[in-house]
Amino acid sequence: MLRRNSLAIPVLLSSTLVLCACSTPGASPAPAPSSSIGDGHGFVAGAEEVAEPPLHLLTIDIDGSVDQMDLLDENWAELGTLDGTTDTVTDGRFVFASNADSGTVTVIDSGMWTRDHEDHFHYYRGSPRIIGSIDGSGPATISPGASATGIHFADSGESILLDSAALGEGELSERFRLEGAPQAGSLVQLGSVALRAGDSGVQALTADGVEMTDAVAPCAGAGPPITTPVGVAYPCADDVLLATDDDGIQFERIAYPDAAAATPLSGTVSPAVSFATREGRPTVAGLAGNGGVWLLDTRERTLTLLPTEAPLLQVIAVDDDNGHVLGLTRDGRVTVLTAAGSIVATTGPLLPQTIQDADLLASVEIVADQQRAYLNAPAEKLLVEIDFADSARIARSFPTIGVPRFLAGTGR
Amino acid sequence: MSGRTNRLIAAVGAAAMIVGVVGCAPAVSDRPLIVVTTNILGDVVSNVVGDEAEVLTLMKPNADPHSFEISAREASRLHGADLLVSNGLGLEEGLQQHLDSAAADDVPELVAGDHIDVLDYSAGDAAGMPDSHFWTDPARMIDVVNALTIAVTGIDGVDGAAITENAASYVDQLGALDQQMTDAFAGIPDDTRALVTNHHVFGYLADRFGFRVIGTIIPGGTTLAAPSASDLRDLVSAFEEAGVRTIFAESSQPDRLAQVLADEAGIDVSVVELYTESLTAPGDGADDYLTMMRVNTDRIVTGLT
Repeated sequence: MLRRNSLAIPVLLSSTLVLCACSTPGASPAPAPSSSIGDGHGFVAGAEEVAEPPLHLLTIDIDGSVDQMDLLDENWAELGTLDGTTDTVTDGRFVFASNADSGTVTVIDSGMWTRDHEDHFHYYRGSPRIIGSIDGSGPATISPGASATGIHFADSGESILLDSAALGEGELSERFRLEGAPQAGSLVQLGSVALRAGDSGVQALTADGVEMTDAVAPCAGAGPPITTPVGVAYPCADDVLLATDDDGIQFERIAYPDAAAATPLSGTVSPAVSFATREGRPTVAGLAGNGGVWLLDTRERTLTLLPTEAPLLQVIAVDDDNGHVLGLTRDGRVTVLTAAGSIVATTGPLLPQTIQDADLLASVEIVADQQRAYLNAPAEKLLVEIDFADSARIARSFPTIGVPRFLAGTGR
Repeated sequence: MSGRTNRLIAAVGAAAMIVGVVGCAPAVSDRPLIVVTTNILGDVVSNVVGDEAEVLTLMKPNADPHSFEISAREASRLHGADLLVSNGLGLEEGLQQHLDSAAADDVPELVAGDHIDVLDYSAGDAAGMPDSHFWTDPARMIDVVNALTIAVTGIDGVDGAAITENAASYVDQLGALDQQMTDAFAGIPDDTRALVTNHHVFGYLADRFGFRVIGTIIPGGTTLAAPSASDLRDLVSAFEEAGVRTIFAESSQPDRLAQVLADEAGIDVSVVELYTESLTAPGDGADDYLTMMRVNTDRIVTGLT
């Protein structure tokens, strides 16, 4: 307050040409040897720093109700209503709910997040809200990155990069929006640049969305990109393309092992079409057709087959000390594998009713952190917490009011 | 606040119009300005500077030195500073662009990390990177104060003799703190001089006073809600390695953690929190550097003896 006054007064005095006979030294007001001006710096507006990740489960039920449960105290909060959701993707804080019929992507701020500082993490708890929607056409491919999220609409060929910092302020700010021919593809941030995938391969773009010369790599049938601490990996028809940005954009190819080194126990092995992992881990997992699981280590640049007895519907890497990998079996159980290739445990049937409804089964999602995994059981109206390191024990289960069709883990 | 400012301006303005001459307005802005990034360094700098300059500390109490932000007004004041004091070693990553731009504007800088013997992290994902948390060793803080004294004395308009006197007095207090810590820790037997912790800031303290740091992950609330022995394996092995029964940890549920360890692993532990990267608000337990260090010392000694 004193400082503000002292700044204002000299300006006024000089503009009115009033004589002031002050000597400057020693004329200070009440000593203020140390000051922290109380205008809000240092705090993230509306958020509180907390001692551990504020882990939550966010669900969108078949009636469109968006709800979030605090995994610490099991309390639910209602965030609003969102009709017609056909897919959800999260970066750990923001949940991107796409609606293929209306061609929109609605962004939900869970209000819970973790910030990575390399040697440690910081955790924040704020207020959840539904921010707004991005207009496009048809289904969207959504690819979260470190500070921006890419959205690609195959029907219109449009690609949009949404700024995460602006989302934190409740604003939908497009860093750029690119037109294009209708085609399957994706857009993802990588460091200071972006990568756009389409029929002609993966093209690097500047921060403003301008195509960089000599920065393109082929990737037939490029699947959704996955971001790891190493870079961005794409499943291609014949191999994996890894893009890194340590010293300019580099593209590397990671080959599948030959048949002798990748023999299934049953079924047939085919290249992965997508990958999933625990937030922030370098090793990711993808289905190897119906013959097992591909483990892609983006740090070591290796692809390894974990053969399974039975085909799986989806997989996710935990990438902990034991190299746990979690898979969903066709009969609705979660099975726990290790990177060494053995199945260590399997839950009982978790989805007896859901497996009879193909649509609901397709929207079941396994979310993993270092100690626990979570699964939505839509028809059973349950969320299940699994202690995968302890014989796939069901640690807790949480009944829901509606049918929790979509699940996202937030606060990560 | 602004209402009061406006009234004051109006009053002064009216006086000026009528009388034409006004008495002396407090001219605080004529004192040199020292801008400091973290509140720990802000306290240290204030002790050295006394009333010889205005000290503007950018980081609020209980904030995170890695990611706090500053207002546009503070950023502009930073460019007009007579000295900019920062921690360095990558600590103020969220502020780095402001610091770089002030440096490009020739604002004189003192980076504390340039004046100490830097340690690297010995373990974890950050192994080999410089550890920025030097303040857990008071002897290294003395090195910083010595460098600071020279830098502040060189600012136009400050009384060098007063600075030297303030600094000598503060170095005495730091020396006393150092001795007090040495004496207090001497009472802890060598085989239990171990900090089982999820804090990443005690590398310098451990190096200086001969502690082992046994880093561990504290099971979170979601794990403690329905725990099993396997959840506690890492933590229990850390206690076995350390030979102690106190963990210095930030936990949202310290009592629950202790209870789970007793129930599932059969060991009785104390969960003790230490001050790490920020001073508290005045009166909240660690509102200056010397107090923060003394409180931590007491808690470590109590926990390990």
